[in-house]
Amino acid sequence: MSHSVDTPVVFEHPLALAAGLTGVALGLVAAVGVDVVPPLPERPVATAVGGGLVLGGVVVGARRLATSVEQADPPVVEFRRDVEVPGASFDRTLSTAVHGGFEERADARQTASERLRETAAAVLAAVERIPVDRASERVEAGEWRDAGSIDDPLDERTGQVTVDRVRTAVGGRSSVERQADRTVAELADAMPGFAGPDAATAGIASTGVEGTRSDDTGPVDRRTHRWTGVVGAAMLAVGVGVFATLGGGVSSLVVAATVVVGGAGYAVVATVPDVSLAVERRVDTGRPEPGDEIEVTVTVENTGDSWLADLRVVDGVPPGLRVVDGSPRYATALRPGESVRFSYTVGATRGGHAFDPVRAIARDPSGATERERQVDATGATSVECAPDLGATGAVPVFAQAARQTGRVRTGTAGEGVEFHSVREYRQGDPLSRVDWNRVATTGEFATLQFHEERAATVVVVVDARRHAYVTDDLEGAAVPERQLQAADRLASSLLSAGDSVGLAAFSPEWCWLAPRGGDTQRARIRRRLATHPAFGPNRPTEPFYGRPPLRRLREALPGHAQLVVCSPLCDDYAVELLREFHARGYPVTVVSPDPTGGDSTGQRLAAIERAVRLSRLRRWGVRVVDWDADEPLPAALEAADRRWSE
Amino acid sequence: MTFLRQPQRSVAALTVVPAAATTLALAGNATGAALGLVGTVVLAVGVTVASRPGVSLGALVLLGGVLAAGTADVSPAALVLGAAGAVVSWTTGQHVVGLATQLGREAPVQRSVLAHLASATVTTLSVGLVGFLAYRVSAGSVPGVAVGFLLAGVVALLLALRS
Repeated sequence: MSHSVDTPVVFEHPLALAAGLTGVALGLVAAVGVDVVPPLPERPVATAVGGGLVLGGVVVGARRLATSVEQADPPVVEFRRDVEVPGASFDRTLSTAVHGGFEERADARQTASERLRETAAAVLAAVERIPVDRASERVEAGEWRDAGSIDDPLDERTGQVTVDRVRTAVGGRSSVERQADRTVAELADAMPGFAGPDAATAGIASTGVEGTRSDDTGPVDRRTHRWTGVVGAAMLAVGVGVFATLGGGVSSLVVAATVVVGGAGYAVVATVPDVSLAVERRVDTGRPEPGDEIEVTVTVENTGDSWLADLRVVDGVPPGLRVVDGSPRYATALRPGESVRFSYTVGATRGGHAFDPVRAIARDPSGATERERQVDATGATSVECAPDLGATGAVPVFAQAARQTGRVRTGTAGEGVEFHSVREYRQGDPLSRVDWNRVATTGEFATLQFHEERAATVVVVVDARRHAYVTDDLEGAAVPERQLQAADRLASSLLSAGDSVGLAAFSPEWCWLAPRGGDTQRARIRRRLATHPAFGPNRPTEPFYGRPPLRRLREALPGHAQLVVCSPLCDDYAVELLREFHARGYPVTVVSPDPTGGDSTGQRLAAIERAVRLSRLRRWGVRVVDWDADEPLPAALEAADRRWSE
Repeated sequence: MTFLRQPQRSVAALTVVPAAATTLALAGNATGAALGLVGTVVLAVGVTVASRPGVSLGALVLLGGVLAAGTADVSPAALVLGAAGAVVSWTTGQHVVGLATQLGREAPVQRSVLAHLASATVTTLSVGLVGFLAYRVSAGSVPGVAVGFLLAGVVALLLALRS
């Protein structure tokens, strides 16, 4: 915004100014017929002026090609903005490799190529069970033939960009995307035990949310450069008109050209409109339940004195809510004192959701200038949605799940059901455990010992870091919700099996509930999951990283505790975290809701990367339950249990 | 569901109305009418797929139609009408594309588009009417070169004023 938007600057182009004044003066003089200047020879002058205008028009018009129209880019408030689609970043990189500027494209190709190579090395390491470093060397050396296409560089061939841009504009795929896709498909084939997400069932194309930068703008005035080059069209028209006058008299074409000149002139003198708005927002339900539909009605009134020829408003839908019907956007013209009303419907999700300010974008009638403002609405400022975790119905208790994670058969001899050993009778041993057969045959008294069964101490940990707010389905239940559901059911079923269960979170918000048994603990865990800020509907802004929070959690854990972690495993740090706890003597079971889809190259790549993480964890002895979105949790637990007992 | 940044068909159709008017105004000249028809189609496609260059190209072809008709002595009133149609369809097309990329397909934008269409029509036709009347009044009495100089000067001033 280097230029003042309110007044056009005349003196920045002194040459054009001088030429303009001279032209007008000469024109007036010639029109009035004053003989100040000698009569000009008609033909050469008309040819020179007309030719100059046509040439100049082409030059000025061509500037349009180098100018991009600038306009406000409000965030996509229709979808939940607090979750990421796994692999969306790779898709964005591939898109930049086609649509970016020259250097951006080169960088994007480099980034994409590196990520593919890293994944290839990780897959090779998993296949051959070798360290990643060695695998990486072999991939670089081109020795791994299973993923041969990784060796084809993602370089840009001359003219390819134009072809790709046209191709993507008509809904096709760019050549860089197809090449990356080939590599991803080869990696998927090479990865052992990887079935790949089913592209058909995912159904919803969610290749990343565009324009998600949300907190970017304060008040902004800008020139849109929308009329750039139109003066060129006007020059062209006038130039052709001047040529046409050679036939004699004023060509009617010159008259037509005035229309184009007038239009361009109108845009030049345009100024930014004053924006003075009153916005009221009304929400139809007071305390909705999750899944309810809430109608939001917004009334916008022009409280200023000036006519708003072109007003666009975008309501600040809370980041955790999704628009299910209608649009939170509206465009209209608004006289002073006039008001408009529009409404849309959102689907309620758990938690408190505050509305953001309304974004108002006003333009002058020609659209040459634009003013962007944020307006706080009166009326409803938030939606409170009652927590609902307690109402998920009876939690199915599965013997397998309980045995795996809860009841632990210890090596210690004592009370129990399973035979352990026999020892000499000591005074005070209960009569029921005396081995009467032995007394009958040998006369010696001996006592049977059994494997002692202790209740396990399990801490259910919910991964609620930024990276865990991921989903392949921007319309459906977000993964944080699935993690909480899993945590709730697991805790419940462990408690039913008589174990002591605690609750913790990988989150910048400290959350800790010491392990205990019984129904009171079940209620406590439920309340915690429903209301604790660590499990809020909005993605945390702070990272969860570094030693202090980990040390704090380790110090809180009882020495004999084991962990059941609910995590989507969509970043490598999650794997490091689990490995660390597992290596320090807290056996880890991870229940991982699968958030990866198969709709785009990036999503398929993310699915392979996650499969590599799972396989790495399994190799370290961590138990992994891969929980697919379509599958009920008990089925996933049962499948995992079968695998463990094999 | 992705956020679709393309205009609704009914809104895109509004843009085609002034372009069609241009084509009709140029009906007296074969080349002009043909270019008008091609321009209208290009413009319609450009608006539908929300492409600013597409809209500009369509309007440029329309203007080419006006120029072609102008060199072939079509009546000045028809030319003014044709030029106005080209300008209005261009600016409305750009407006619709801007709305589509900014607000998406679902947002109700009819009021805004109609207001823009109306104000652009009134403005360009007013300018055209003034030019047309001046032409009628001065016909024959003013040398063509003088008017050429005047308009060239105004264009240069516009260039000086641009920011």
